Amino acid sequence: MKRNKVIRLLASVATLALAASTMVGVTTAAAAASKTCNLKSRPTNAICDTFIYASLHRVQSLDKKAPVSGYTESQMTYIVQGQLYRFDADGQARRDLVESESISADSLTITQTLKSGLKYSDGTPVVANDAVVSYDRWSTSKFSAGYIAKVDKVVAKDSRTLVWTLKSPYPDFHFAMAQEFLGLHPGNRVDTEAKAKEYFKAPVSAGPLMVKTFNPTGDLFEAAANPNYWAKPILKLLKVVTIPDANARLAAFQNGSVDFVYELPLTSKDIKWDKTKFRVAAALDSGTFMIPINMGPLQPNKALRDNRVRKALSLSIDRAGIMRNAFGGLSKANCGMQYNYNNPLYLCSLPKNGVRDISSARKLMNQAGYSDGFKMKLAVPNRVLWSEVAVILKENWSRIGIDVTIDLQPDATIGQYLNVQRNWEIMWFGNNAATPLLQLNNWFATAGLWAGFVGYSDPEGAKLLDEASSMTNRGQIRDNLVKLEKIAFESSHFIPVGTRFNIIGSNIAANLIQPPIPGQLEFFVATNPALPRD
Amino acid sequence: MLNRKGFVNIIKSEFLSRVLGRLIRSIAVAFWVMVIAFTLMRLAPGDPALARLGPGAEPEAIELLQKQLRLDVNPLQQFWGYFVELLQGSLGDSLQTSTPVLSLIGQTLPVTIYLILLSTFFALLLSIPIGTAIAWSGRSPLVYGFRTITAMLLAIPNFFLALVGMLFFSVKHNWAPVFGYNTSFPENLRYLWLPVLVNTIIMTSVISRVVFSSIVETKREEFVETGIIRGVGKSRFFWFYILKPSLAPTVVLLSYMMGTMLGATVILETIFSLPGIGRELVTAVLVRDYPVVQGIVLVFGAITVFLSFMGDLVAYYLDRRVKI
Amino acid sequence: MKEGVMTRFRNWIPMPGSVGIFTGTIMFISLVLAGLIIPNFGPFKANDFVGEPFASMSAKHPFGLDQLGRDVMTRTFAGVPIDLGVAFLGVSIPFIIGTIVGIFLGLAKNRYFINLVGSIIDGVNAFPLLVLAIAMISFFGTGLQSVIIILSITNWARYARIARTRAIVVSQQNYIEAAKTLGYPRWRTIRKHIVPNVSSETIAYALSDFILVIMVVSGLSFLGLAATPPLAEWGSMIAEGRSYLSQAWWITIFPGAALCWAAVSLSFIVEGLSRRDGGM
Repeated sequence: MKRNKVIRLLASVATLALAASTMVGVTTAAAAASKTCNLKSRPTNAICDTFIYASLHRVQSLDKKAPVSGYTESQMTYIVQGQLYRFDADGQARRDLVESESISADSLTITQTLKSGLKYSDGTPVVANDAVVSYDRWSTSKFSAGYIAKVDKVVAKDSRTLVWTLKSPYPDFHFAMAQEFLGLHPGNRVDTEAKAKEYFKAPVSAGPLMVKTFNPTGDLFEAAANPNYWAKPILKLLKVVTIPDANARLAAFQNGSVDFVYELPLTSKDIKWDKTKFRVAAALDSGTFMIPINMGPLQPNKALRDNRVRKALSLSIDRAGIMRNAFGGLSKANCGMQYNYNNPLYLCSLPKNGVRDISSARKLMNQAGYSDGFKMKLAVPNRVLWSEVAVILKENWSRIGIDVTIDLQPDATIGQYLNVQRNWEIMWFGNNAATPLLQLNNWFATAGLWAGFVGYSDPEGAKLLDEASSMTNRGQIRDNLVKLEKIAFESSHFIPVGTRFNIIGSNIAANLIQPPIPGQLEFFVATNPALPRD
Repeated sequence: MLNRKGFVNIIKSEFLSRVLGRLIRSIAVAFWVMVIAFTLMRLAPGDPALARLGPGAEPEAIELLQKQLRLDVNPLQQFWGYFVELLQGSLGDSLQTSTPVLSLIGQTLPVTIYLILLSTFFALLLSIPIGTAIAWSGRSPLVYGFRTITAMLLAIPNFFLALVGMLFFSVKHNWAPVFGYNTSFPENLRYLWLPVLVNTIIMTSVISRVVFSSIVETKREEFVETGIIRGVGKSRFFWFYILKPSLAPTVVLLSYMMGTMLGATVILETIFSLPGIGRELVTAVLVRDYPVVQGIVLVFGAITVFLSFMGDLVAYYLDRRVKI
Repeated sequence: MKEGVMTRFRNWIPMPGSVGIFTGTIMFISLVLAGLIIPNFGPFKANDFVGEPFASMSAKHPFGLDQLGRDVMTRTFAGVPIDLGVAFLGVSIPFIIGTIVGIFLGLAKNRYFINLVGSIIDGVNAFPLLVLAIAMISFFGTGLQSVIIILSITNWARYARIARTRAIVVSQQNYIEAAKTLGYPRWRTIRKHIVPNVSSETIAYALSDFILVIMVVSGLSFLGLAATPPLAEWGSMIAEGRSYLSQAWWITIFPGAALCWAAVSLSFIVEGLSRRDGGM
C-alpha cells in the first residue's frame, strides 16, 4: 500500500530528525583556557577575558544590609564596590582607596587620607563623607557591628580625610576596614533606607569591577572591569551563573563550561583530574563548623534553656565521626572554639579534648531532669554534605534520648529564620572570620553577628574579648581566651565541631581570581598594580 | 432535499454553536481555575503572613505583608482585589525580589513551552506511525510486545530515566551539557536534547497506545466496511476513513497530556538546571514566595484550559466532517 | 473433585490478560512481602550505621552501603511501607470522596447545580497534579502528612468526574427504571445497583492512579518537599545518591529499581485487566 510506504517513510524521517537534533546537541570539546589566563599565569602577566564562576545562589541583592539568598551576594557585592581596605588573595587587609594612614601615639586616633582623583564608575567623585555614611549604615545594622564596636566615631575632615576615634586600641582595625559592610557608595544616594533600596538596584562602583548585568530573578550576574578604578584588573568580564545542584556544578566544571566552582561534592576529590587543566583542592577555611542554640525569647524548646542540657549536647556528639563520615576526613575535629588553621591562638577548651563522653552527658541530662529525653528541631542549610551531618547528629543525640527532627532548608529560608522569625531551636552552621579574634567577636561580642542571631552575649565573656582585642602581647591574649572559652563551654550555646573547609575547583592559577581562602564572604581579582603590601 | 450549499450551511452553524458552547464552558472552568489559585493560599491553617515571617517579626512587618497579600480584608474583597489586579494584567510582585511575577513568568515560561513543544512534535512523529502500523497489521505477538513494552516504559519514573540518561550522556561521555541555557535557536537545542529525549520516550509510549486502540476501534466501524465495499481509493481511504477519525481521541489526549507534561517537566528542569517555569515554582515554594507560587499555578491552569479547549475544537473538526 | 478443579483451571487460563495480571500481582506481592520482612526481621536496621561508607556490594550487604555506612538493601525495602503506604492513602481517600461526590452529582436533577459543580470539578482537574501538589506544599509545609492532605484535597476531582459519568449512564439503565416503577425506595436502588457499578469503574481507575500517586510522592521527596532525612523513602534516597552516582551508583539505582518494580508490576495488572475487559 502506498500509504504504508509513506508511513514507513515518515517513521524513518522522524527517527532521523531526532537523531539529527541530538547530533546538533553534541557538545564540542571542553573550552580550552586561553593562553594568557590559565594554570601557569601570574598576576603580573595574566589577561583574562571572561571568567565564569558557578555559584550556589542567585545574586539577588547588592546591599549588605539586605541579604537575600546567600554568600554569593556578599562576594559579588565586595568586588563591585569601593573599599577603604581590601582583602588580598591571602586574606590580608591591604590599603585600597586609602593612600596613607597615620595613627596617634595612644593608638586611639587614626587619620586616613584617600587617594586623589577617585571616581565612581559613573564619574561621581569619591569623597570621605561616603565612608562616614557607610559606617553609620553598618553600625546600626545587625551584621557584625561588633567588629566596629571599638570605634567611637568617624568624621570626614575634608573631602579626602577621615579621622577615626577609637574607644580602646584595636590591632584588628584594618580587618574591620576591609569588611564588605564598609563598602563606599555615594553618600547622598544611600543615606536613607528608602533611597538605598532604590540605589542598590543599580549601584555604581569604586572597586575593580562594576555591575554589568544584574537581574535579581535570573541566573546570570555579570561584572565588567571598572575603567575608573585606580588599578587595572586582570579580568575583563566576570560571569556568575547559578547552579544550585552540586553535581551539576561538578559536571559543568568537568566539561569546561565554567572556570571556578565552590562547594563541590565529596566525590570530586576522587576523580583523576588532568593537572594541566584543572586545579581541585580541599581548602581549609578560617572558620569553625558549629551548632548554635537559640537563646532568644521566642525559642520554644524549654529544655534547651538549661545549660546542663546544652553541655550534654556538646559532650554527646562524635566529632571525629562527623568529620570522618560526612566530610571524608578532609578536616579534623575541634577541641576548642576557634578554627584550627594557621592559628597561633588555637587552644583546646572542651572536656577530654572534645572526645565523646556519653556517660557524663547522661548525668547532666538526669540532673537537668530530662532523663527521658525530649524532642528537638534541628535546622540545617541544604549545602553539600550538611544533610549527612544532620543524620549523624540525630543518631548521636538519640543515644541520650533526644528525638531530633531534621529541618532541611535553602540558605534563603535559614536567613529568614535567623533574621526575621527567630523561633528556631538549634541549627548546624559555621562561623568564619579573617582572624581568630574577629571570629570570637562574632560569637561573644555584645554586638557580634552570631550573638545577635542567638540573642545572647555573656557580659564577662564580652569583656574578656574586648580586652584581648586591644592587647598586643600574645601571652596575655591567650590567657584571656582560655578564660573566655571556659565560659563558652559552661554556656555551650555554641558547640564547636570542626574546622571548615570546602572543595574548590579552578582552571587558573591561585591568587588570580577567587574568594580569598580565609573567609569566603569576599572575592578577589588581581590587579596591576597590585594592592600595596605595606 | 439537501443541496450541497445547504448541507455546508448546516455544518457551519452546528460547528459554530458547538464552539460557542465549548467556549462558554471553558470560560467557566477558567473562572474556577482563578478561584482555586486564589484559594490555595488560604486553605492552609493559620495566617500565611505569620507563617512566612514567624512570631519574631515586628508587628509592622507582619501587617505590611498581610496588606501586600491582601489578608487584611474579608475574603470577598480579597478576591475582588485579586480579580481587578488580574484584569489590569498584574499578578503581584515577588516577595523575595519585588519584581513583578508576570515578568518572571515571561522569562521562564518560553523555555518550558519550547521543551514541551519539541517533545510533543517528536512524540507525534514517532507514535502515529508506530501505533498505526501495529494496529493495522494486527499480528498478535507484535501487539502483545508493543503493549508490554509501552506499559513498562510508562511505569519508569521520568526523573529516574533522566538521571540514568544524565549519568551516561553527560558525565561518562560529555555529549550533553549539564546546566545552563542559551535562548537563541539553534544553540538551545544543545541544552534541550536530553530532557526532550526523556519526555519524548514517555509521551510516545502514551500516545502510540491511544493511536493504536483508536485505530483498532475505527477499523471496526461500519463506514470503514462501506468504504472498502465501495472501493474508495487507497490513500483517500486511509486518511478519511481511518486516520482522521482515530486522531480525534489522540488530539484530546494530547491536550490533556501536554498539561500533565507541564507538571512532569518540573522535575526534569530541576535535574537539568533549565531556567524554566517549573524550576521557578520549586524555588518559590522552598522560600515561600506566595505571589509567585499563586501566579505560576494560575498560569498552569489557564494553559491547560486553553489547551483542552483547542484540543476539543481540533477533535471536532477531525471527527465531524467525514464526507459520505 | 479433581475433574472439577482441572476443568475450572482449563477454563481460567485462556482468558486474555491473565498473564499480565498474574505476573504483576506476583511482582507486587513479592515486593510488599520483602518490604514487611526484611526491614523488621533482617540483620540490619534501616537507620543504623553498620559499616564503612560507600562499601560496594558484598555477600553481607547485597546492595552495598550508602554514604553514611547504612545498608542499602534494608533501606530500599524499608521504603516499601512508606512509599506504598502514603500512596495508598493518597488514592483511597480521594477515591472515597470522589466516588461519593460523583454519584451525588450524577443523580442530581438541578441543571444549574450540575453545571456549577461540574465546572468546579473541571477547574480542579485543570491543574497538573504534581504542580498543584508542589504549590500547596508552600502553604501546608513540607512533609509526608502534608502530601496526604494535599492529595485528598485535589485528587478527588478526577474520581468524581469518572463516577459522575458512570452514575449518569447507570441511572438511565432499564433495570433502574424498573426498580423505580416497582416502588423500591431510592436508597435501595442507589445502594444495591448504582454504587457497586460506579465503584467498579472508579476502582479500575484507582489502580492506575496508584501508579501516578507513587510517582508524585517520590517525585516530591526527590525535590526535597516531602520526606526528610533520614527517612528511608525512595525519592529522597535517589536524590541523596545523586552526588555519588559515579563512585557509588548503588545508592541511587537500587531504590530507583524498587520504584520501577512497584510501578511496572501495577502497570502489568492494569494492562491485564484492560485487556481482559476490552480489546486485543
